[in-house]
This record gives sequence, structure tokens and C-alpha cells, in this order.
Amino acid sequence: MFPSGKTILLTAASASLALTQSAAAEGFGRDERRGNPYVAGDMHNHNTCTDGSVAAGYAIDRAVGRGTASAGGNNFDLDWFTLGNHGGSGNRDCRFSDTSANLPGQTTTTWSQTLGQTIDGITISSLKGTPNGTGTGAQMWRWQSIREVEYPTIVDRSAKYEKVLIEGLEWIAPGHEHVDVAVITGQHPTHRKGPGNADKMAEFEYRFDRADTDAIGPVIDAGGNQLWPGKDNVNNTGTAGHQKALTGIKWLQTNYPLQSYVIPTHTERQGPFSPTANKGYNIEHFRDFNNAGPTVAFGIESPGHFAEGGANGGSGSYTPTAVGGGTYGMSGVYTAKVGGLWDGLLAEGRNSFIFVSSDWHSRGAGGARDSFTTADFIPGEYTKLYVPNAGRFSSQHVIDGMRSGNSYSVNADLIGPDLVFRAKARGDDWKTMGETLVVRPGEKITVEMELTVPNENNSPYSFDNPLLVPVGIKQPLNKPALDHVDLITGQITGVVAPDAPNYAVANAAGTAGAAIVYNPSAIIARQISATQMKREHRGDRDGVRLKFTTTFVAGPKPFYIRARGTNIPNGTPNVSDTAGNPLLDANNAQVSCTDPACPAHMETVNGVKKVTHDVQAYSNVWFHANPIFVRLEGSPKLLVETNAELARRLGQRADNDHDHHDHDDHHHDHH
Amino acid sequence: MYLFRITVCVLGLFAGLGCGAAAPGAAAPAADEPTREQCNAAVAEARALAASVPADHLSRYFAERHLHQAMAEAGNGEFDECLEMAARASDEVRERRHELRPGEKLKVLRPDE
Repeated sequence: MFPSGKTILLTAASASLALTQSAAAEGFGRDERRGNPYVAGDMHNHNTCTDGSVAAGYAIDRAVGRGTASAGGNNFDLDWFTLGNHGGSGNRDCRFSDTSANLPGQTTTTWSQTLGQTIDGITISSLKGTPNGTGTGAQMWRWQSIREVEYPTIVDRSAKYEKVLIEGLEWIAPGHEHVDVAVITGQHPTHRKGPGNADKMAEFEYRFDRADTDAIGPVIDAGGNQLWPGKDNVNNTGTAGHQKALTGIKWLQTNYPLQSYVIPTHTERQGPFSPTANKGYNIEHFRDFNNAGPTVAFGIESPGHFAEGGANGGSGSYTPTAVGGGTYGMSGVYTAKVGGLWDGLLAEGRNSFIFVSSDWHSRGAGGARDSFTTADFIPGEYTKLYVPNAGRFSSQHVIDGMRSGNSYSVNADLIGPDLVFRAKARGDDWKTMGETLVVRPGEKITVEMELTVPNENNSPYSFDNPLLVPVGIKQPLNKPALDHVDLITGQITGVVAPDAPNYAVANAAGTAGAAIVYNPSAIIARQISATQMKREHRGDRDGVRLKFTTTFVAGPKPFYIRARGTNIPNGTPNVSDTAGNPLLDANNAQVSCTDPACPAHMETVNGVKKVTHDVQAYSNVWFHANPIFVRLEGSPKLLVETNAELARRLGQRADNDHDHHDHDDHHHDHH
Repeated sequence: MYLFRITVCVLGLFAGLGCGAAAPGAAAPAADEPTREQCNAAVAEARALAASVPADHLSRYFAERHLHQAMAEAGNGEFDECLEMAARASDEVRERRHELRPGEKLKVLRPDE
């Protein structure tokens, strides 16, 4: 946390308000996954409550169900799922899928058609708050659909699947674009005393989402008195909007410091921040967010929409005006570039971690059950966000795992749920992702990685990866293959103060944005080929276990080590440079897909199919692991350490007070 | 090949065309934010462009799907994304980004399959 008296006051307030929160955490026994050190989830996805194509319940069914859906299509068996839908309002009844999903018996249905009816056990009698549209355009404010539709659906599906389901939000942030948020306080869908509610999540949406311009919200009596008075419905744009966004983050930090998160998403998409519009983020905004919410605003989400790539780019839903001009290895340039914006945040020793999710809306040209997609993947189909498996896994553990930094993000099942990425100096004191290793100058640091490359992913295609055909590699798209792992290091030079001249850094749209260096010391320090790793075959079902160990020598300055891996060799034309960095993904479409099995939906140039859409996504595959930090004995603690300590103190205060006040309601694990 | 055709009627239902008056009492959008009117105009223009393409051309199908999503964005009040999807539809048609080889089909499951 950035030291200030204001923050200390805020922290004290946070502690008292955290007292009852731990009781709300939902936990489930997970016998079948007990052996996996990490569990897979998704926190960013949509349904017909906003601009998605399928009903809220259907989205959950496909994401966490097993086997085949009743009407067809594979389910993807995620361990946890956060329903992270936009704020604002929507005119469609999200107990129904859209006509475009081509699901049996499902047609686009609006709230105006169903008011007063009981459907799926839910009765919506009226559209509450400020009237918003008429007829089929009559919209329900999202605070209402969060409370009255999505959360009851989560309660229903939690009982059905016995998995961790969370009601979240894709916050349409004032002054910016979008942010993944969840507030789990009050959510305990399978609690013996009752399922709780998502009121705190809804209140955040009502108060701080710039697309929710409702001026009333829920009322508490016939006189129309507001449950949530005092909303700022004015400062939604540009610099004033950014300040309102910070107010929202401080609200979370003050009230729900351990039970919420704030993770900006597809952050490069709309270009740099504009002081007069609602778009983008520069590095100073990530710094502001983390300073305002040291235990809630701890990272960046890379874009979803992985199958949107066409002949002119578009993967991740990025156009050429995005910062960077598009995605790189299916990530935005902030996190994909060595020395880029994320490395700039890590150079401060900041608790800034990266995450990835599907951003599922629809399959584009396909219906929900089709095997191909030209837009998005269903949660769990292509992208997995891994957090530690805490045994009796709970919604609190999802947030604790994300906050700790001990997490990693995987596309196309390049690696499985059992990554080991750790470092030690002496003895057996290993530190993993998000942790800090304390060493002596000149000491040898051992870094160890173990990972499993599964035997298969969810690709419907078994023809050879067209991006690798030009370099003579035959690699079926449905068989994950690791080419190498990069260990990326960067020096930590200390927290940049808000009044320092380099706190704000000029940003740029397009490929010019990719040239900005935020941490010049960041390098690919080691590249380990999969062929150099120790190999253990785990049988036809479980894939191959790969291991390597390497060493560093502690220098005079603190540093960090992060990791990424890919199926793409260095210098693959139109895909990677000679050092192994991903090129702008739009270049992938320079490569033709000539296999007779290349599907009909691929984009063509002069009648020739190009590597686009889901074929591109399964061809250009990466994983990213969060950093391990290293500092010298006797040196000041890094911000990542002090913020982790703050979280521990808040948790201890909450536990102590909780034990003192309420033993009966204890519903989460101590470790 | 099954080409899902979106009728004007369904689109009207979808996004409440003509029914989305600004909520009285709600805060007004920022002056430089795209509006529903701009969204409707862009969609109408792209739809006319798509109609100029043979009904069985794959790019027309893709454009119609983009326009359907544009209306979904409008229904959610996200007019910037509506404009983006309408632009994609127009580009799809102008550049004929998707086309089938002779004898090739795009198989899309119908609701009754």
C-alpha cells in the first residue's frame, strides 16, 4: 500500500467492517479435484441480461456442467465460475436465450412480455427504479437483475452442481472502459440458514456503473425512500469519471477489503485514456487503482473474445486503434510485451497480477451448440484461470487466490492444473507466484518449474497447426504442445509516488503504443526448450509432465521472475520474433490455411482461407504465470509484501472478531 | 447451408427500436457518447448494404449476425459497441470476407436439430 495517513484510517475502518464477512464464504467438498493444486475458473462472461446470447442459467450450465448439454454441445466442467455481466440495463428477459443462439424452444424474449409471470421459480412483477424505455424496449436496471434474476439463478445452479458460483459484474467504469468486479459479501447460495443475496454487488453496480443512470434504485417503503441514497449520477466521464471510479474502489476497500476484487479488462481495446471521454487506461490509472484499493485492485485481465480474429486482425475484439494495434499471442500489449506496462507496475514491486477469462457473449456465426466459433468461447472451453485449490474450496478462496498472485492463466489447455513455479535460495524455503524470496547478495537462487501438457484440448479440429506448417512442424490443433518456456526478469526500482514526474506516462493508440517501454530492465532471462526439460509420460489420458531447474545469482537490486510458455517456436514467420516474443496477431492472417479440413467459416483473401477465428486461437497458444519477487535481506519490504501483510491483518482481525462474536455461523476453513 | 435470417420484426423486439427513449429522471449520457439514434442509423445503413449481397453469400450471413449483435448491444445501452458491430457488418459486406468454395457448406445447427 502506498503509505499515507489517509490509507491508515481507511484500513482501520476496513478491519471493523470485515468482521462478519468471512461467515459468508461458501465452501464445498471437492473430492474429485483434491489432487489438483489449482482449480480452473472464469470471471468474465455474459448472458441475455445484457448483451450475451444465452440465458443466465444456460451459461452456467455449459461452463460448469459435465459431459454433453441436454440439447447438445459440450460442457466444460469449470471448478468455479463468476457471472461477470455488464452493468447498466437490458431489455431482454435473461431466463431465455436469444433466438440467435439457435437453442430448441428459445426465442428472444423481453421483460415487457413476461412481467408478472413465474418462470424458473422467479417472478418479476415490475421494472424498478427510473422508468427506462417502453414496450419491448423497456429495460431492467442491472441492480435489479443482479438481485432478482442472476443471483437466484446462481442459488439454483449452486445446489445442482455443488460448485463455487459467484455473482459478479463487468463494471462499466466511469472515465474508462470495463472492469471485472465481484463483491461476495452476503452471497452464500447453499448456506443452511438461507441463500443470502447479492445486494452488495448490486449496490456497487447502482452506485458506480456509468451505464446505470438510474436515479432511484430500490426503495424501502411506500413513500419511495431510497435504500441506497446519495448516488453521484453526474461525474461519469473523463477525468471526473476516473475520480468517481477511484471512489468506487475506495468504497470496496473500505467496506469489503477481502471480499471483493477490481480487475480492469481488455484494457488496451479503446486506446489510451481520454480526459474528456470514457475509454482506456494509462499506467497512472492502474497505479491509482492499486493505491486506492491495495487489497482489491491487484491486476489486469487480458482480453477474451479469442476467436474474433479476421483477415485484418480483431482477435480479442481489438481493432488497429487499440493500444498496440491488436493482440500479441492473444494478449494485450500491456501484458504481452517484455518491458511493457505490466512490467512497469512490477518494477515498483506492486501487487499487480494478470488474469484471463473468456468474455463469452456468443459464437458469432455459430449458435450456442455449434462446435465452431467466430467470436467467443464458452467459459472453460478455451481459457482457464487457475487459482489455488484450498481443499474445501469456496468463493472466498477464489478471491484470496487471485489476491495472492498465486495464479496462472492458460489458453487452449497448453498446460494443466498442476503448475509448479517456485524459487528458493537455501534450505527448503520455496516461494511461489505472488510471494517474495529474501536472499543475500551473490546468493544462488534456484528456480524450478513443473508442468503437465495435457493430451488434448477442446479444439474440434485435428488438422495440423497452419501457423507451423511453414516451419515444417506437424502439430494437430487438438493436441497441446509446448515449445518452450520463457523466464522473464525485471529489476524493481521502487514505488513511484503520485507526484513523481514518471507516475503518468504518455500513451499511444495503435502500434505506436507497442513501442513504449515502461521497464527497460525487463528481459527474457532464460528460455527453456521443452526438449531440454525432464519428461515423464503420464499415460494416454493425463499427458506429459515436464520439469526444469535453473539458477540465478542475486544481484544488488530486487527483481522479479515471471513466466510464459507457448507452442510457437522463435522466429516463426508471421507469429513470433527471433527472441520468441509474439508478433501482432493480425499477422497470423498472412498465413493460409490449406489443409482440406480447414473449416468453411474462416476468412478468405482472394478466395484463399487465412488463419483466422477459432483456428487462429488454437494455433497461437500461450500461458502466463504471475511473478515471484526477490529482494535482499535487510532491504525494505516490497509493496507486494506490505499489501499482502495488510490483507493478512485484515483477515486476522476479521477472524478474531468473528470467533468472538459468532461461532455458529462459521462457514469457511481456517488454514 | 442453413442461413439464419433475422427479420426486422425480431430486431425490433430485440432492441426495442423506437421504444428506447431516454429515461426521465435518469442521468443523461455524456455529450460525446454515441446515441441510440446513431446506432439505429448505422445498423440501418449496414443492413441496406447487406441486402445488396446475394442472399446465399456467406458474407451476408456474417453481416446479419453482426447486426443482430449490434442490436443486442443497443438493448444493453452500449451504443459504442453497437456502432462497432455495425461497422463490422459493413466491412464484412464490402470486403466479402467470408465465402464458400464450390460445394462447401457452413453447417449451423438449427433450433430443431
